[in-house]
Parts: sequence; structure tokens; C-alpha cells
Amino acid sequence: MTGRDTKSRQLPLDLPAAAAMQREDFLGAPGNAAALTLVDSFPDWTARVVCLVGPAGTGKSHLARVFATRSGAVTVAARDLARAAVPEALAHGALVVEDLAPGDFDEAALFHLLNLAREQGAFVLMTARTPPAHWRLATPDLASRLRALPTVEIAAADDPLLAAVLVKLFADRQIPVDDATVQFLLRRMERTVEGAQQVVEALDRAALAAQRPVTRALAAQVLRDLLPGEGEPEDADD
Amino acid sequence: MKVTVERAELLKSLSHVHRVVERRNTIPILANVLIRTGTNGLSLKATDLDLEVVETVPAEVSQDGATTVPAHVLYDIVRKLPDGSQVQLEAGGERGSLAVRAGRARFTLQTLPETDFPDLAAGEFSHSFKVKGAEFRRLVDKTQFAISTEETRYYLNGIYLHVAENAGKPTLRAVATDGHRLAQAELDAPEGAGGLAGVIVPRKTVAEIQKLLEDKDAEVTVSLSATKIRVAVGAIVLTSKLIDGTFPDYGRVIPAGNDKTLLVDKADFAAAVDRVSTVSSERGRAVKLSLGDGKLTLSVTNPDSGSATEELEVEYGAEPLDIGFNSRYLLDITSQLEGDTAELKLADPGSPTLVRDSTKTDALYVLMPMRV
Repeated sequence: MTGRDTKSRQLPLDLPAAAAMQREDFLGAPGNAAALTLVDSFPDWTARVVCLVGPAGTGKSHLARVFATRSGAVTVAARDLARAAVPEALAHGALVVEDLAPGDFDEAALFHLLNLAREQGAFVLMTARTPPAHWRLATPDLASRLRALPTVEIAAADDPLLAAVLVKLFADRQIPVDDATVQFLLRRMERTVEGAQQVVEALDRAALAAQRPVTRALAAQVLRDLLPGEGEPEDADD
Repeated sequence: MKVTVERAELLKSLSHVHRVVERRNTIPILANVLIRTGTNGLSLKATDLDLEVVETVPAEVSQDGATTVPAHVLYDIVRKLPDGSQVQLEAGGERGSLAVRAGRARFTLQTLPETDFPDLAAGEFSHSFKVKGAEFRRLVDKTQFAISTEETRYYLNGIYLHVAENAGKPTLRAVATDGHRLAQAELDAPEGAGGLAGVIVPRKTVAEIQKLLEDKDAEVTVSLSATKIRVAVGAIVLTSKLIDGTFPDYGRVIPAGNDKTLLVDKADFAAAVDRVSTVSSERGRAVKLSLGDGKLTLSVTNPDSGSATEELEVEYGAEPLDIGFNSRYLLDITSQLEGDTAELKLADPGSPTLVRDSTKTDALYVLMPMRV
């Protein structure tokens, strides 16, 4: 096969897949053990406001979801946080604030949130890609509060975890896949959970478009399209 | 066991049950049909472990009993017996065989013990509802063509049957998709279907249901549990496992905001698609639709064989658009439309198109384009 027939190509429907987000679906590994222990130990937390810090795709949102289920917390995106909405957000006694990123949230709203949470003794779990202690902020009081904020770091996934993540991502999409294909992808894809998500999604779409099973040969073809220049011609063997 | 059955009755029943039996079986008993006497006559049962069909035929029972014999052989025998004959089935004796007699013909068939015959163990059904055969058949007919045949997409290898809502009214809805196109048909939810969780009915079961509902105006009783479906029509009871998978949240691929509306005579459109696709390659099959003010131009270009174009007068007032589709998919969908006018709601060459009857809302089709 000489690659895709780009002249006329059937596009697939964008059928959504639902990721399994229960506690038992979370893949524990040494790099995320501290974060998992934190969520599992709820409500016996030493501090009531904690921030999970880790690269994209390492399971922060998954853990936040597990925490939300256990605590009855509502979830708000950090960028949508508004000062006026803070009391209502904290009304359940627990709150998840997702994707805190420097320059992408209302500092007054977050400051108000931290104050009110402390006053009410509410649980707040925040997620961020980088430690908030290092951010440059316009509100000095908020900066000092964030420096004092307990954080739990999640490390980037290692190879055994990435292999397990690949299997989970295929399982989420109800795609049977053999170990050889998983190992093949693992050796060649971008070695991050985000990279795994990207390649699994691309493979799912390619398989759906071609009405073919997910095989090592299809994986090779998809990787060539995703990462031009890194494909191996001998893999186009079907 | 000793029974006498009217040949036509026996043949009709065997024709229903023998189809379930696969031609090749690694488990010998699965090649057999179970025949058993009962109060209502003779019951015939066949299974492939995923699907079983039981049908009862009127019979004169002289001696109760049960046995199993090769289904296809018995079917072929009965098929070749003269019309109007009485068929006598007699099992017993020490050789463990079944004698089949009609007129002067006499056959002896090897049997396997009925106690070895597998039972699907239907268990309890949580939902049960009655629906007109023709209506249920319509749900199946309108969606069956879109079922995926890619075996590894097991969760798409069937029709998703569930209770939904259309214009505030609960409906019993059937949906199938192969990832290229999607078909949806529905009817007013029958009493007893309320609260039904979605189930995926496998392709083979769908095909058998279609055949059981052939020219039947009879009422169908559908019973469902989380793992099984049972369809009862007259003296026939089909029980099948369901697909153990999650059907995707299909509602998200049904476009709601497509603002370019094309109205075209269905028959003219199908004929034109069929004509221009004559020159398309086996692999490609793409036909390009070029839409302008009140005009649709269909074209196919195949570097190996040539090209074709055809123009149609249509109702179209939106901005010009070029979009490609698999010609076979267009024909599949137009053949399902009931009215004279097809309505296509388009967005752009890379987004799903909605196809439906211009006057009916109880069925709709979604088609992904091809890049051309």
C-alpha cells in the first residue's frame, strides 16, 4: 500500500467515545501514587485546599472526578471562575477547580475562593500543569497564598504506565488490540499520555474510515501521518 | 415419540428454525434441531448458542418424547416430500434413530440425545411490550443497512434499540451506524417500553427478525433484559443474546445546524447517481455534487475509465457548494426514503449531511462525505 488514497477518501463520523473515569479505572503507578493516596484518603486531609500538579494527560482530571464523586463537589473550570459565583460554588462544602494556569483566571475570584473556603472549612481540589508557587501574579496576597498551598505532584508517565494507558484508551473506545500493536506504538509514538491519546484517537478514526480492524500495519500508517519522517516503509505490509 | 404432522406446516417451521443452524459446527449438537412433543403439538428448536428459535406446529401426538436430528437434512427431506402429505416422525427403539415417513418414502436419521441440547437460559425479562409486526419490521428495515460489518467494531454490529424522545413524545428508536453513515427510525413508544435501557441487537438476530416478520400483520411481543431479547410472533419465539458493548452517544453526530437545504426528486436523484457512478472505480465510488442556484450537477471522474456528469433541477437557494459522497451510500439511503422528495441538509464538504423525507420525521439518515 502506498499510503492513503488522498484523491477520494471516505470521512468517518465523529462518534464520541466515553472514557472510563471511575476510581477502579485509574491506573496507579509510582509517579501518581501520592496523588492517588490523597484522593483515597479523603476526607482525612491534612490541608483542606490542595493542588494536583502534573503534565497534561497524567490523570489530574480523572482523580478530580473521583474526588468529586466521593465528596459531592461541583467542578468549575478555573477560567470560568467568577467572584460572584464563588459562594454558590462552595455551597456543597467541596469544590474542584480544573486547569488553573497563570494568566488564565480571575485573580480576585480565586483569592475570594481561597478565603471563603478557609472560612467555611470547605474542601477544594485544584489542578494545574505547573506549580502555582512559581507563577507571577498581579495580586501579591494571592501569590503568597499560592506559595503556601500544599501541592501533590504527578510525574510524567513511564513506559509501563504508558503501555497500560494505551490499553485503557483502546478499551475506552471498545477496540480490541493485541499486545504487539501496543508495543509497536509504544516504541514509536510521542512518549506522553497526550501522545498516546492522540495516536489512539487517530487510529480509531483511521480504522473507522477504512472499515478495518486496528492492526500493527494500520498503526504504522497512522504514525507516518502523525509523525512524518518517522515511519518505517517495511511496516506497510498489508 | 410418535407424531404425525402436516408436511406444509412442518416445512414452514423448519424453514424458520433451520436458518439459525450454522452450516459448519464444531459442536455436533448445534447442527441438530430439537423436536419435542407438547400439549400444543410439536415444538422445533434450533440454536447457535447466541440465538435460538422455537416454533410450535400443530401435530397429532400418539406418543410423547423428544430427540434431536440434523436440522438441514430434516429440512431438505421435508422440502422434497410431496405437497399435502402427512409426515410421521417416530423415535425410539434401541438404535436411537428417528424414522421419517411420508407416503412411500422412508428415512432414518441419526439422533443425538435431547438432554445434550443447549438452552439459552433466557432468565427474567425486565421489559415487555407489544407492537404491530409491520411497525417493528419498519424499524428494522430502515436501519439494518447501516449496521457495521467490521467484526472488531462489535458494538456497532447491531441495531441499538432504546426509548428516546421526539417532539416531547416518547419513542421506541432504532439506530445503526458503520461509522460512515447512520440510520435512525422510530415509532411511538409502546406501553411497557418505558424506562427501557438501550440494547444492541446483533446483526444475525436482526436478519432473523426480519424474516420472521415477513408478510405478518400479527402482533409482536418483544421482551428485553440486560443481556437478552425475545421476540414472539404467533407460534414462533426467537431468543437472542444482546451485544455486550456500549453504543456511542450517536446524537452528537446528527447535525442540527445544517443550513443549506436541498430538495430533490428522490427517483430522479437516485437514477442520476446510479447513472454517473457507472464510470466510477470499484474502490472509489465517489460522486461529486455541485450545488448552485436551483441546480445540482452530479459528476464522477475516474482516471482509468472516463468521466460523467448529469444536471438536475432542484430546490436549492443557499450558497454554492461542492461535496462528495460514496454513490452506493446515497443509493442505500434514497432507497429507504418513503416520500417522493428527498431533503438533504448540508453544511460543508467535511461535515455530516442529514437526509430525510421532506414530509416525514420518523426516520433520518446521516451521511459523512468523501473528500473528492
